[in-house]
Amino acid sequence: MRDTRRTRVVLFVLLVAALALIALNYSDGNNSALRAVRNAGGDIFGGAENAAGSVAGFFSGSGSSAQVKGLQEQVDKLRAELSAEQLSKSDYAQLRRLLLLAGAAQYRIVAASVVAVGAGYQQTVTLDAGSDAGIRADETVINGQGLVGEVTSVTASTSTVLLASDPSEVVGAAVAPSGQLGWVSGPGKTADSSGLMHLEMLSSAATLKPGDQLVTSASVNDRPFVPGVPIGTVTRLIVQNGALTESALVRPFVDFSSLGVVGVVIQPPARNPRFAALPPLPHPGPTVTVTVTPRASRSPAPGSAGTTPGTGG
Amino acid sequence: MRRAWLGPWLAPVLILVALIVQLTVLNGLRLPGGGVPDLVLVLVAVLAMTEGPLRGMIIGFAAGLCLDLAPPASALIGQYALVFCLAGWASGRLSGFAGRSAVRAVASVAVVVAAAEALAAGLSLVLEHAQVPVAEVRHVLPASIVYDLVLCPFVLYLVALASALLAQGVAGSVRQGLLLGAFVPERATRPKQHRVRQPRLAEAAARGHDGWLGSGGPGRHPGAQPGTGPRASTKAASRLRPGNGVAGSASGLARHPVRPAGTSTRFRMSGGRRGDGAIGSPVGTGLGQVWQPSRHPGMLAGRAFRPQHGDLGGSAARTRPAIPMQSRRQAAVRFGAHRGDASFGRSLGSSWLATPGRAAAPRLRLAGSRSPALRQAASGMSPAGGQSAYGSGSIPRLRMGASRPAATRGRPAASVPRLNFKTSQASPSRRQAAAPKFRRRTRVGPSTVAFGLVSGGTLDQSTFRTVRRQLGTPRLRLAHGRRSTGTLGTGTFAARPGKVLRRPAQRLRKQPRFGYGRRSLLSRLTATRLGGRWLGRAQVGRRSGVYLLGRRPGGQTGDQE
Repeated sequence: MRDTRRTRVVLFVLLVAALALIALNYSDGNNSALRAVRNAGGDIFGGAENAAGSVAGFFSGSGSSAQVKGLQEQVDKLRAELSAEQLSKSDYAQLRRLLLLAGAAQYRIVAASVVAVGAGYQQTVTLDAGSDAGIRADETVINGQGLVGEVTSVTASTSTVLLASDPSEVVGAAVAPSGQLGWVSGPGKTADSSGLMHLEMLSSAATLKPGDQLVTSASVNDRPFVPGVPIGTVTRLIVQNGALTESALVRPFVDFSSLGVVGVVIQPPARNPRFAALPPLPHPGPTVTVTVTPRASRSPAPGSAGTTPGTGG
Repeated sequence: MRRAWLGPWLAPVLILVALIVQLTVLNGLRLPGGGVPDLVLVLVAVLAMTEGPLRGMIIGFAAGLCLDLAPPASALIGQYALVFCLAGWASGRLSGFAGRSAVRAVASVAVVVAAAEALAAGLSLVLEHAQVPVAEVRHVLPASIVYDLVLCPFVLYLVALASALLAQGVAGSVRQGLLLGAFVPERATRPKQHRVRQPRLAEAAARGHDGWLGSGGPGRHPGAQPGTGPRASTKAASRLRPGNGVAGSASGLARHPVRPAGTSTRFRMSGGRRGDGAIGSPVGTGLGQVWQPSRHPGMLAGRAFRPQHGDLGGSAARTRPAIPMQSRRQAAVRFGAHRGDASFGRSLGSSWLATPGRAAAPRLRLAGSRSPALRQAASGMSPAGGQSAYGSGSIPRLRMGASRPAATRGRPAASVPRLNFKTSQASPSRRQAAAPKFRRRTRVGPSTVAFGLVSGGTLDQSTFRTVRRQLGTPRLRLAHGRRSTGTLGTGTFAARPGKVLRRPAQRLRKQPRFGYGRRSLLSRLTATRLGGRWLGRAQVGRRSGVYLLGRRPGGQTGDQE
């Protein structure tokens, strides 16, 4: 079938329009026209996605009260609010854990639900709460387990979250007991698909061992990441000859494939919560079963032998 | 692929539903391989295959823009719009290849979708270099393509089903075939369609009072030697007819370049319609030139047809000298002003009678007229132009207008029948009646007997107002059809110099064209100055053949057998 002239003209016009849109993205990140277009799209499609999402409705809860009792009341109240919207049991559990985490780390959060997952190669999700709920861009998104990602763009009723599992997302991390700093990048959809993040320490003096827990270290002005959010556990050290710093694979606390109720930290804590939000280690010693660390020369210290029964050597 | 009737709302609704499903459900899936199917892309390809490239690319652009803007918005707005627009266009282009075959349709969609996925990945790599690592693309892309291909047949089926249901619900019956045909219930009942743009030239059955060009009919050609040609045949003559009126049809002889002897050929010309074809140059030449349908469907086969000075229907570019007589290109008649209108080839009539080894000098003779202009036209066309009517007896000619005895005897001009294009202004009613029309619902008065027309085709339903002739007299008739009609020649055919034929006012927008398709400067000039077309409105002389080039009703194929 031959193209008519009209077809050719329309094709040309459409292609030029698409290229112009792409070029507009590059021209200025804060282009007002582009932002207006984005907001319009978010308003239109966000509504549909919210309706289509299994759990609709957002609510804002404040985690400022440190008392567990008050928190429990809050959970009950929120649950009563959400019962009309058939908040499922799993959602309730997620919400409860979220509020517990937020309360432990003194975050003030806005809870929201994941309603859509982005297409393409970037791992993004859409939340059903936007600037109307007080969410702004570059804010930390958490759930009951730990770090989810950061808000990249916001419309009136939706917000887009770049997940921490995206390879382009780099999070500053602090190792739990020692406070040594490193950075964690997402695994992406790579071939091994293990979902393990990659941790690289900043200092060559820093040491790691499997079982170490990571939290976020504070970003500048607490944006995009507030301090103290649990990230994951070191599972395996990467032995690299000639590497200056240690690196390791980190299993994230959050299951990125089943995100439900999340919270956006709209107000950082007054003081750094440090490691308050980390889940308690069940048995700090025995989790270490294999010790293949560079410190192996130092490990047969007599004091640690009794507490690490699994240690072979 | 045959266009299915989708209705105006089906495509947007489907796209929106697919968009929501894609964003809320499909993207969240964790499938092995890391990729997810792209439902929107597959749907765009399928819809474009149904609706053609133009609407396909618009649908694709809109869907891609929606996907760009929908809240987990991609970092670059316009990325998916670009990719999906191209995918829609490509899929629409491939719909011709797909035809009615389900397998081909699935294959086309699959190819388009795979290419679009690859393009999207490449675009991501180029435009978002920092965000998208190559390893991830290499890992995800094959899985995505595989999932898309799995999705393709289902989406095709669903779209077809939706269109069928919609058509049934709205129209009460399935108007069109579903796009795949595999599950079309009425597929068998529908008359078989021509392949698009396959020119055909069909023979029509002879009917009573069919006129033969320039003579009384087959067998009565005085110049024809008995037994040497089709005119000696007493069989019911067949005629060359353009085929079924499919667009681009009737430029036939794709399969039968050599006509069997024993039949004579007739040409009918009628008002040009879209899709009326051209009688190509190898018509009847028998020289083994095969019409190539991939060339211009509405034009002459073989070499470039260019109406020359003195040609019938020609450009009448006066600065151009007359063509040498020996040129085999010259005698060409082109009727009609539109693309796809009938054109007579250069060697029309020189057909199978000519000895193959001999350079069959094509002729188109306008005998009998003493009009200087006509003679000039005739001489421009025939090597034997200066001579009187018959050159050699073995070469058939296309004669128009004059009856043969009158032409041979060389009567004085007053008595020679002419090819008359005159407007009798004296009697407006007659003139009104004389304007050849090709209409339905024409009053059939006692004076407008419809004999003498080449019947058949849509003429069965219509009558010529202007026929008021004696029975059995062949006539050349230039039907003034819908839109534009084949006209014979330029204004040189006006019998009475000084009388200006009036040009019909309502046809101003349509100009005769000489090329395929576009309107050229040449055609514009000739149309305005010399204007072959509007002559078609004039009355044709009393003695002339009737030419109709029309479509045949019914669903018969136009293959000549």
